[in-house]
Amino acid sequence: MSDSISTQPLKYAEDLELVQRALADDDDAVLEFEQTYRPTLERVLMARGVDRGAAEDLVADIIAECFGAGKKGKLEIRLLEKFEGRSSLSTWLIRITWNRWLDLKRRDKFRGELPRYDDDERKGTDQFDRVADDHEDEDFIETDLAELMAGAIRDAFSTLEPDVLVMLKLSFLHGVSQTEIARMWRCDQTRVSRTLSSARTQIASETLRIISEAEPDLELDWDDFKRLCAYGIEI
Amino acid sequence: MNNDFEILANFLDSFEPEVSGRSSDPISDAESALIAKMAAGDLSESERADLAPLLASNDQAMQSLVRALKSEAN
Repeated sequence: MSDSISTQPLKYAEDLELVQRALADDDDAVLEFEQTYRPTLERVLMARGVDRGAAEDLVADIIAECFGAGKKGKLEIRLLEKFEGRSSLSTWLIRITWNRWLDLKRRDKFRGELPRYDDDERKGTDQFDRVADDHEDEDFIETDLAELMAGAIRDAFSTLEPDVLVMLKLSFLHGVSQTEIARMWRCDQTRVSRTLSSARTQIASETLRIISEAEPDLELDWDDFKRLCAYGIEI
Repeated sequence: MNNDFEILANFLDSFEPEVSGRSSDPISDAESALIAKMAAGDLSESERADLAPLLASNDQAMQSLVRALKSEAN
């Protein structure tokens, strides 16, 4: 899998072609894009407990940005222009959607902590935007959820003893039986089974602990997390 | 989603291969010999503990172990 970067652009050539046609104002491509991905992204959000209205609004904003319509006017670069075909279009869009959702949650929390000025309402000023504008160059709010997840998994793996990690890889990635592992480790199969089970529990709890420490409002459970990882691979 | 570990490992790979921190450096003859010994169940606990970091971090080493296990089975 280590050569995936060089082969993926070809693998997702169809997605890239759809995007290029849509960006070239091909009506059929725009329609196909919307009909395929709008419901998918809404479902992804609703599966996480976002209510239908909020999911529809968020996805509508993202779809609009895909074609250059930002909340504050026309965007310099249409969001779809950033798609390079290095992952599937669905994976790429889901990652963007989850990031936006995470940003919204951060905004909601942060907004409650910001000072409110008397003329905010009259001027239509968003408290958060006032601060965000001041920090435009600092990537203040655009931490990538996938990076956070990958970092949490990596750190959770690093808490395991190397021989336990080897056991996990042999069993779950290479399909080596517990009997075979026990033979190599010169131990009882029950010990292998217990070690694998306890390692999986440790990975789960450590991963969620790291995520929760970084994003206390995210409230992911283990099934959510795995689902997000699975979406990250392919939908 | 029964195989949690596979989902997580694949996510790391698909997200960004280098994130998983795995090396694919070639392994030495001495390391190959140790790996074959491990596949045969002939490594002591301390020898296995010494070899484990290489197996955990190097794909070539892990693939070599899997191949050795297959040939053990035949």
